[in-house]
Amino acid sequence: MKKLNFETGMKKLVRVGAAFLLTGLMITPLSSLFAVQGMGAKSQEAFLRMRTVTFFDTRFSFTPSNRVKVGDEFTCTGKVMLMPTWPQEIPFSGISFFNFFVPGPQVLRKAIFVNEKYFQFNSVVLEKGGVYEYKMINQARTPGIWPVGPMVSMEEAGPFIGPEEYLTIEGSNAGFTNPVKTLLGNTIDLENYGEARMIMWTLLTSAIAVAWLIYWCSKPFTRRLGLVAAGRKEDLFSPMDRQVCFLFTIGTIVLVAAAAMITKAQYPITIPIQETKYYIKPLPPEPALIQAEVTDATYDVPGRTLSFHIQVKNVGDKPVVLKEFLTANVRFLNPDVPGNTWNENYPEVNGGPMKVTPSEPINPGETKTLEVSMQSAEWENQRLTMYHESTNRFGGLLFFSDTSGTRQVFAIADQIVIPKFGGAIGGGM
Amino acid sequence: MQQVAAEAEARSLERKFDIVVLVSMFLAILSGFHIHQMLTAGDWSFWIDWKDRMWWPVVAPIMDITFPAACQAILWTKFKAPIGATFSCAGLFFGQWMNRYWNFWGWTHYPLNFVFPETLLPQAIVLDGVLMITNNFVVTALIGGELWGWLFYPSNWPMIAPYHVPVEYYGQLMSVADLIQYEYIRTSTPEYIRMVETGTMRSFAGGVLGVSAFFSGFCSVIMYFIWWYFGYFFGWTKFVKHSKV
Repeated sequence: MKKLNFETGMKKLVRVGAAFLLTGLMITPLSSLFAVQGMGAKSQEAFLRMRTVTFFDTRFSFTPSNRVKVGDEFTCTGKVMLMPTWPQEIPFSGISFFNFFVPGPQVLRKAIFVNEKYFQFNSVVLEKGGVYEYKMINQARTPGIWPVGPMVSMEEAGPFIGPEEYLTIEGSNAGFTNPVKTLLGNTIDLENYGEARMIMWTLLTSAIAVAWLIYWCSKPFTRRLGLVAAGRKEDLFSPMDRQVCFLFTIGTIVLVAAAAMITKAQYPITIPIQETKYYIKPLPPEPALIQAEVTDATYDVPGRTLSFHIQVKNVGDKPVVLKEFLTANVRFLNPDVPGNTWNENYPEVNGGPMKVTPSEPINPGETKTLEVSMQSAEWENQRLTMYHESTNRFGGLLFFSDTSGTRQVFAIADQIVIPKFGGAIGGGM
Repeated sequence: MQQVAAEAEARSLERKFDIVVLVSMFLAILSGFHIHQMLTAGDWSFWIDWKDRMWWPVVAPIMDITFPAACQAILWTKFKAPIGATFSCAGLFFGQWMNRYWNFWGWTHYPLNFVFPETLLPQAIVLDGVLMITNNFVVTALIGGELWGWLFYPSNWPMIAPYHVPVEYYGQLMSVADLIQYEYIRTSTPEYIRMVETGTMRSFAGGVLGVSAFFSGFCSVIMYFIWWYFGYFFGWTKFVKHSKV
């Protein structure tokens, strides 16, 4: 009786388990409806995101509505700096590719201009410390809600992800076309160009293969194993089998040769796949307003506050203020600067206020040591605390401005951070 | 009369068993070959802008003659059925198309003209045919393997020729295939990852294709031998004597 109960219990357990598994499998695809995820920038190490490539001045033409219709074009513009002190622990080849991230071809990348002049088609070679201005022109293709944004991939170093927005593409893509004029003068639709021809050839070659398989598989199959083992191989083939074999073998070779020649006649002008790498010069340097050096930095773990001291010398002819700190697509604005308020159209994350002490402007010729302090939950939310990582250095861009509005972007790229763990923090691996 | 009925029933049962064996083999080979192909020649098979004149005709045939050779070793030596190459390539082709249709087109909305797979079926038929005609795997390796490499590009040229038509776009010259890869975004696949002809290998015929095809055929011969023995080893059969059962 006990055995019976055990078996019954096991059966119930298996059934319940199977029901859970089945339910899980059915619900899993639906979960994407409730948890739309971005491009996974947080999975990259903080020191990599803060010290390699920094995007700034990013703007999307579809803001603030973040809605476009299928077929609409929109732009993403901005600048990107390759940090001057590139971490030695991250390879640098300079071979890069400006990209627009979106999960699949839900938008078409119509064109990318870098420094106004260059059209980005092949990979380019960039320089450390260089600032590059990009303009990405895209076209909405597939309805849905998609995370989108600029991105620079670098050989050996990986992808660097810029600020992202969620774009809603409305309408239907039924009837969507993507016409292009070739150098031979005809207009083609990239959505389905060559598709019918490809499917016809696929079906034709498949039909021949299926005919070949049907011919042989229509004969008894497993029985052949025994006949071969019994040494009766010759009984398995008839003269017709050999004729069919010749027909298929020679016929296939002739068919392929003929099809290739006909195709050559149909497409007399073709070119190879194109491949090159070329250099892009960075933008000319911005006017020098300051000279600066970061002297120390700490991160207060319980207080979630990054602080550092920076010695600044005003080398311009107007008073200068520190307006902003930007790192890993998180912006911190100095509220003491008039008009320096958060704009909802910024695609970056709002890190909160940046406290600068002393808050008074730095006058021409004057040298001051500023204490910059940013308390923000975003250090943890964005996984930008480095005391768990192998490299405890931070970087980012400081934006200084004079009274005429002239801006100087100053890169911090190699400053070590001393964590302050506080009494309540325990150990760990 | 009873004997006739019994024989008919036996034949019917044998055919059903044949179908079960063939379908099972088809699915097993499909999955194994498909995984092998994706791991070794995946990008060359996925994307229209990887189907160049140098690397594609080298990588794809060399990596893809493996399962046909192994299947031939089993199906020819054990069954005398000249279908090993066609059977495995049909399985691969079916698996690839399911992948491209459901995943690439249906799920992520790539146009099929960007992601369609190459066909290996004409070469496979020729490889099977050579094996049956010669009844010798060494000769099949030498002749069939070489033909396998040579036939690959012309077997696929009818499909890919339209994508080599030139286009001028924002002042740059590119092929239609280049333009498709540019416009239809592969988010995490930057252009520098493409392994395609770099224009440094002019040869006898003025292009790289002849050298690639020859090299491909040469390596396919070697791969054929290696994988024939894989198939032979894993397809080893031992018949147990009745008295021991």
